[in-house]
Amino acid sequence: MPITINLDVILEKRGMRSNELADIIGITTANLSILKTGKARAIRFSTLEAICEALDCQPADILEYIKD
Amino acid sequence: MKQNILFKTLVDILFIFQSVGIIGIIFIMPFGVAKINMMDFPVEDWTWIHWVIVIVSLIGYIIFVVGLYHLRKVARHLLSNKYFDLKVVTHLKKSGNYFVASGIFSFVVFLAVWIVKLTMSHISLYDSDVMLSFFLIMVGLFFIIQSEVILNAKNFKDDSELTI
Repeated sequence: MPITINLDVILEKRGMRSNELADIIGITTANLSILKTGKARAIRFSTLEAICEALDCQPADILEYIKD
Repeated sequence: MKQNILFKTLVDILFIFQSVGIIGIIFIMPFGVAKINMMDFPVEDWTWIHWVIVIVSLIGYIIFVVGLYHLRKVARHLLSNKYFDLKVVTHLKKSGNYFVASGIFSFVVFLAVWIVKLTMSHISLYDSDVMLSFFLIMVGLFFIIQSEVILNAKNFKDDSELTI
């Protein structure tokens, strides 16, 4: 899929661990892992909003379009 | 759950009886243990059309039992609450295809028997056997459509599960 998730990069920049983020935004670590590995088929606006709020970033910092 | 158990049990019973029936036809009939009579017409006087009717009937019967076998597989998955499994879709579609084929075969048999009756001056405009053929084709088509519905439902379920 040409959409890639840069959640790892942002997490590293903020010095936050995956399980901490999962706790803050209220999803399971398994679901966060699905999101990080790019296996997710869709992301809810509410989840995106919670991630942006927790990591103090913009949606474009997390999602990136790379042409195949 | 009770309905699943009842469904599985009934399909199993029907499959076992039909399988025994096929074994009986294939292995017992040739030895002359059972008597073959078609329209009160002794087997010694049969022409080629009578044999074609018997062979087509037997093929239709075997196809029906294969359809039942696939329905058994569906019932087994339903019993373990795997409603949206790909195997359910595959076996339901196969079962539907076999039932449709069996229905077509029995309709061909009905037509052939009707023609034979016509040549023997036993004209009948309506026969209840043809309704059974139509019903079999209807059930088969419904299974095929239902398999498509389950496949769509499975895709929606996967989408829902992978939406974070």
